[in-house]
Amino acid sequence: MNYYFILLAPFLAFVTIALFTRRFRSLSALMAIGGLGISFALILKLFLSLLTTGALPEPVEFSWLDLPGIHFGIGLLFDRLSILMGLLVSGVGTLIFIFSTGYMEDDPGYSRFFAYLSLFAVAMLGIVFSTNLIQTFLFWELVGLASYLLIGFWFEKNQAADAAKKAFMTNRVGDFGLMLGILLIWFVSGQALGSAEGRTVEFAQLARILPEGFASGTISGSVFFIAGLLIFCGVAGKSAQFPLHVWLPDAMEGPTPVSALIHAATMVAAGVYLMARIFFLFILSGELLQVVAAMGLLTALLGASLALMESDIKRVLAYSTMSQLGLMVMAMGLAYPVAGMYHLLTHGFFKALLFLGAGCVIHATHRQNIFELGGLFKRMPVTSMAFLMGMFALAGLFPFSGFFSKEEILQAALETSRFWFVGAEATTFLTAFYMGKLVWMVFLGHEKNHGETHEAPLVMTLPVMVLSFFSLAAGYFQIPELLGQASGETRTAHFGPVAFISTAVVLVGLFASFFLYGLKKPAYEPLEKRLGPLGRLFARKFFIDDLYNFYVAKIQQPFAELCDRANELFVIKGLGHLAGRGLYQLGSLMKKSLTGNVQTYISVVVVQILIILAVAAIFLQLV
Amino acid sequence: MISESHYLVLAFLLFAIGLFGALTRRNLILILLSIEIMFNAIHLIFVTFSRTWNNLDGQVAALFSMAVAAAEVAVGLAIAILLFRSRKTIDASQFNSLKD
Repeated sequence: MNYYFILLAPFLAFVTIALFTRRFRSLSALMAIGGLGISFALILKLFLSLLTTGALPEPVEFSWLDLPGIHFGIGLLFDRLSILMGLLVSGVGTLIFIFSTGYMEDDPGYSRFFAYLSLFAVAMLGIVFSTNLIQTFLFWELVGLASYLLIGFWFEKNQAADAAKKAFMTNRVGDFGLMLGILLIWFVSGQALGSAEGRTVEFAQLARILPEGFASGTISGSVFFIAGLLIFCGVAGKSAQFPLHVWLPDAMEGPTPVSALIHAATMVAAGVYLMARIFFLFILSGELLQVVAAMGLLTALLGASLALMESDIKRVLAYSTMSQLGLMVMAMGLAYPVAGMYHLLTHGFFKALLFLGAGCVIHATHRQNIFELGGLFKRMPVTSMAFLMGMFALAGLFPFSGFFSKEEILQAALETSRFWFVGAEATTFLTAFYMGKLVWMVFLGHEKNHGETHEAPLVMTLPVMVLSFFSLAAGYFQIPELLGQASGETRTAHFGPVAFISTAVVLVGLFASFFLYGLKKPAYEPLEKRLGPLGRLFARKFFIDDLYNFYVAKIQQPFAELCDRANELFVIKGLGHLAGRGLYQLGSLMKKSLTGNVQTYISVVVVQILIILAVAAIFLQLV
Repeated sequence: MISESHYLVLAFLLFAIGLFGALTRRNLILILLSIEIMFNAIHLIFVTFSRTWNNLDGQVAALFSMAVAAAEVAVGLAIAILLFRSRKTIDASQFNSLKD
C-alpha cells in the first residue's frame, strides 16, 4: 500500500465532500471518517512493524520545486517521533470525527463540517510526516486556514467570526517569524557546507549539517539563537505560548469537536512537535533553551491562573491546554524533548476526552457556564465518569497517564534547578484546583433545571469511553522508551520523591477546590473577592487582551489612518492628480490638431511622405 | 528638340498643380477636377516611358487607367451629389464629421 495515502485519503475525502457529496449528510460523514480511518490503519501498520521488527520504511518524497541549486520536495518521513505522533493525530482524530456525527447531528452545515475536519487532519498529518521545513511551513499554514474555517464554522455568530479572525491573525504574527527562521536556516545551511549549492531545508540533512557547522565554527552561535527564536515565534503562535496565546480561549467559539481537535491532535500540538522535530537546532544554543524554558513556565503559570477565574467550561479547558503546553515547552527548553513529547501524547488523549465530555454536557444541557450547571452525575453517569478520569489524568494522579508524563517533566525540572521545579509544581497545584472546581461544580450538587437532560447517544459516548481507556492506560505503553531510543534519553524515575511531592500537591489542590466549590456550591465566583486585586487581575486576564486592544485601536489604527491620509493627500491627490491633469492638458493640446478636415490630414501625409523621401534620398546618397 | 525630360517635368508640374488643388480647394467639384489632373500627369509619365523604351505596356496601362479614372469620376460625382442632397453644400471644409 502506498504510504502517500496517509495524506491522500483524508484529502480525497475533503475534495469529494466539497465537490460531490455535500447534499448527502451521512455519506459525507462516512467519507471523512473512512478517509482518516485509512490513514490511521496505515500508520498503525507502520507502528506494528516498528514494534515487531524495529524496521522503518525509507522516507518517500516527490519533487515539488526543482531548480538549479534549489530542491523542495513533499514527502513522508518515517521515524519513531512521526509515527507515534501520526498515530495520535489520526487515532484521536477518527474518534473525534465519530463523536461529531452525534454532536453536529442537527446542524445544517453537517457536510461542510466534515469537509473542514478532513482538511484539518490532512494539514496536521502533513506537518507530522514532513520531510523538510518548507513542507512543514506549507501544511502549517494549511492548519491555520482549517482552524480559521472551523473556529468560524458558525460564522453567522459575530463572536465566532471574530474569534476565527483573531486566531488567524495571531497565528500570522507567529508564522511570519517562522518563515524568517526557515529562510535563515536555508541560507546558513549552505554556509556550513561552504557552497550555496548545498542549501537545504531537509530535516535529515539539517540534523547533520547544523551541528557540524556549529562544531567547526563556520556558523556563529548567535545565528542559531536567532533562527531558533524566530522558529519559536511560530511555535508560540500555534501552541498558544505567551504572548501569542490570546487566540486560544476565543477559539472556543467553534463547535466542541473542533476544540477537541485543536487542543488534542491537530493544532496546538504542531508547535511542540516542530520543536521536537528540530530539537537539534535548539540544543545548539543554551541561551535559546533558557528563553524557551522561561516562556514555557510563564505560559504554564499564566494559563493556570487564568483558568482559575473562568466560568465557561470550555474556556477552562482551553486555559488548561495553554498551561500544559507551557509545561511541554518548558521541558523542551530544559533539554528534555522526550518528556515534552511524552506529555504531548498523553495530553492528546485526556484533553480530547475532556473536550468530548464537555461536548456531551453542552449537547445535553445547552449551557456552558459552570455556575448554571450542577448535579449531572445522576443524569449522565458515563460522561461524568469519563470526565472524572480525564480530570484525574490532567491533574496528574496515579495511575492515570498524566501522572507519568508529568513526572517526567517534573523530574527534568528538578534535575535542572529548583526554580523550574517550584514553578512546575505551582502549575500542578493550580491545575488540580481549577479542574477540581470544574468537576465539583458541573457534576456534583443539586441538579439545576436543565429540562430533560439525559446521557448522550452511543456515537458520542463510545469515543469518550475509548479515550478514557487510553487516558488511563497510556502511561503503561512505555512511550518514552518508544521515543527515547530515537534520542537516547530514557529516564524512569517514578515513585521517587518527586512523585510523592506532586501527588500531595495535587491532592491539596483537589481538596481545596472541594471545600470552596464542592461542599456548598456558590452561585458566583468566590475567589474574585477573596483574592482582592489579584483576583481582578486574573478576571481581566492580566490585561493582556486589553493591552492588545489598546495597541490595535489606539496605536495601530490611528497610524493606519495617518498613512491613509498621507496617501490620500500626497499620492492620490498629489501624484495621481498631477499625472491625470498633465495627461488631460496634453490631450486637449493634441485635440486641436484634429480638425476633422480630410484635406488637412492628407496635407500632413503628403508632407510626411516628402520628408521620408528626402531622408531616404540622403541616406541612399542619391543626391 | 523636345526630350523625354521635358515630358517628365511637365508631368511633375501637372501632378503638383493637381495635388495643390486637391489639398486647398474647398469646392468638391474642383477637388475632383484636381484629382483628374493628377491622374493625367501619371498617364503622361506612363506614355513617356513607353515611348522611351519602345514598350507598349505603358500605353496599355495608361488606357486602362483612363477607363478606371472615368469610372472613378462617375462615382465621385455621385458621392458629391449625394453629399449636396444631405448637407445642402459641397464645401469640403464643412465635411468635418471625422472630428467627432
